[in-house]
Amino acid sequence: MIRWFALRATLFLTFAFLLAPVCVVVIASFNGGPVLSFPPRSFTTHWYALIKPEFFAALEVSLIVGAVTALLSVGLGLPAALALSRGRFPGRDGLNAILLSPLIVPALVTGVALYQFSLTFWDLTHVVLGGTLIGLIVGHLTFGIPFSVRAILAGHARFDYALEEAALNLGATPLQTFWRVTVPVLRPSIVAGGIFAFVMSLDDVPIALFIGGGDATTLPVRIFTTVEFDFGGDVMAIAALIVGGSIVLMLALDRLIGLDRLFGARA
Amino acid sequence: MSEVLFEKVEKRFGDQVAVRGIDLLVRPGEFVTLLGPSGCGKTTCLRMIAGFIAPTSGRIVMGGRDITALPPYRRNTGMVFQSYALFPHRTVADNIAFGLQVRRLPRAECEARIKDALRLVHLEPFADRYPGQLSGGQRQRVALARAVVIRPEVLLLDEPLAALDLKLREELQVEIKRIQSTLKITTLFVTHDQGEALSMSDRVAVMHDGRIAQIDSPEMLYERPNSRYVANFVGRTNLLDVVVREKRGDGMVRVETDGADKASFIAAAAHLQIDVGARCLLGVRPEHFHFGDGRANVIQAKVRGATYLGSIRYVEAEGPAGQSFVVQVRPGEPAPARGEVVLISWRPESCFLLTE
Repeated sequence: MIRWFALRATLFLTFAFLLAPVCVVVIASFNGGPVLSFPPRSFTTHWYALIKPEFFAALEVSLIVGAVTALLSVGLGLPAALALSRGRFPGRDGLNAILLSPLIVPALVTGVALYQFSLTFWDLTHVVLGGTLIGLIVGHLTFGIPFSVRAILAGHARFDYALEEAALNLGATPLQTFWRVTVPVLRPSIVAGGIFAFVMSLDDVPIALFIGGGDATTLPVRIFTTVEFDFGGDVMAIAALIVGGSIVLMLALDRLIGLDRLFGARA
Repeated sequence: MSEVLFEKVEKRFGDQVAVRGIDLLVRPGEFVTLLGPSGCGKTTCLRMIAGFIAPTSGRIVMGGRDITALPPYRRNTGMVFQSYALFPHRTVADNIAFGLQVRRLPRAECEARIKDALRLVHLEPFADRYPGQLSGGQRQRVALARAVVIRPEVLLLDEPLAALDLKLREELQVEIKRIQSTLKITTLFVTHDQGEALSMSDRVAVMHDGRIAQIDSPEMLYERPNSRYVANFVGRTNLLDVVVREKRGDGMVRVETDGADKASFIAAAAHLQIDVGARCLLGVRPEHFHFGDGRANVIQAKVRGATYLGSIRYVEAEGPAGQSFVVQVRPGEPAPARGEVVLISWRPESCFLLTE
């Protein structure tokens, strides 16, 4: 009984610790009184009407960059993961280490390096990467690909090669076997890798700060720069909208695919 | 229905020789088992027929066609794997449909064939289940249905029952045999379980160290093994070192033990080329031994112990030259006590000689 109570209490406190700041933001976004006062004095929705159009433009940038980063990460990560787990070629361990390193190097360092890279790249080719969507996507791929590769490698560790042999034996060509057996069997980890890449891209500030800007300003960067000068209720409102959007996305994923299935625990 | 022919097939993995020049003919509709311990090359042989590995040298012919260089998906063999290898993202019906879909068969024919296959393995109610929702025995039956639905020339079974418990294994043995004889499909079965091999096969090939030690009907394999290895691998055998002393006109030979006691026995050897003075092994199965001196060959032994196995009971005894014997006690017969000195006798027809 005491154990049961202690477990419940720990669980409750953990959730409270994780969720309280999020709840405060959502509640504060409806606060009619002076900004940043808590508890709220009166209820209003007018902060939502005051959200500036540049926030929506930044959200659009974030979503496009996130989606493209996720797709490219998976598209490049799947072959890389298959090569790493199945191939026996010189430099395999080195490639493995390189694909792991962006997860270890601080994003700020990567951001500085990317900035330097974009300048050098401009010197050589006169192609502009800084402040463009392509530059942002390239920057986000530096962690998107490693994340997808890690997710797919984890799923692949339990892959039964007899499945591919069975497909070949039943008359499927290697290409048919890849699309009809290998990819569907690995789908949960492929989707997980894509979602990881998308969420990381959406969340990133340091890299987007260095390589983005101008037309390629992501939502976190926009919020970050706004808060420096003017911390208003509209920032709370957009933050609350992001929370709401995340919840809707998670519910949709759970309904469509099943979250437990997505992250590996499938029957 | 096609025959499978191995011509001097050899397979090396680096320095390791897995298969050492095998010649084998499996006749159309025949059920042949490759029996042997792990590492004897039996699975390698099966995988070479399926096309997952290529022989280092030699030829494999199936249905009159040289398939040695064909990729697996051009061979038309149906394989059942030990791990089942069912596609986890497809239902039972979709698993069975896979081979038909990649062959681009018309939808109506696909559905008819899937229905037939489901009926054949008694899994009609489970068509819409996923493999994760089935028991081990049911999964293996789906795998079997998936392999036969494409009407392969040869059915290849790679230890399909190894992961199942005893009762289920016996049930599926009967099931596989029934399906095989219904479809009259040429079948190669790989196992390390001699019971499975003897009960299901038309012929059994006992493999040892990359070679076929003996290929024969289950009866011949058990009654007339051709080597110490086969005699010991298939069933239990009592072996005595003997020397041939006399060849008799009736197909019998008289042999003597090597030891100081010089016991003399008669053994059937009509099928053997054997010379007087040759050293050989005299083999007797435990169930062919009798207590008492009622038969032509008699030896004295001291009882060392007994093993009770439910349906049968074995008595271990020690011969005059220190040989150890295992005798099967007949139902209703009292087992002699430990330390008792008994006579053991057997008929000349129910023992065999090994020239090895």
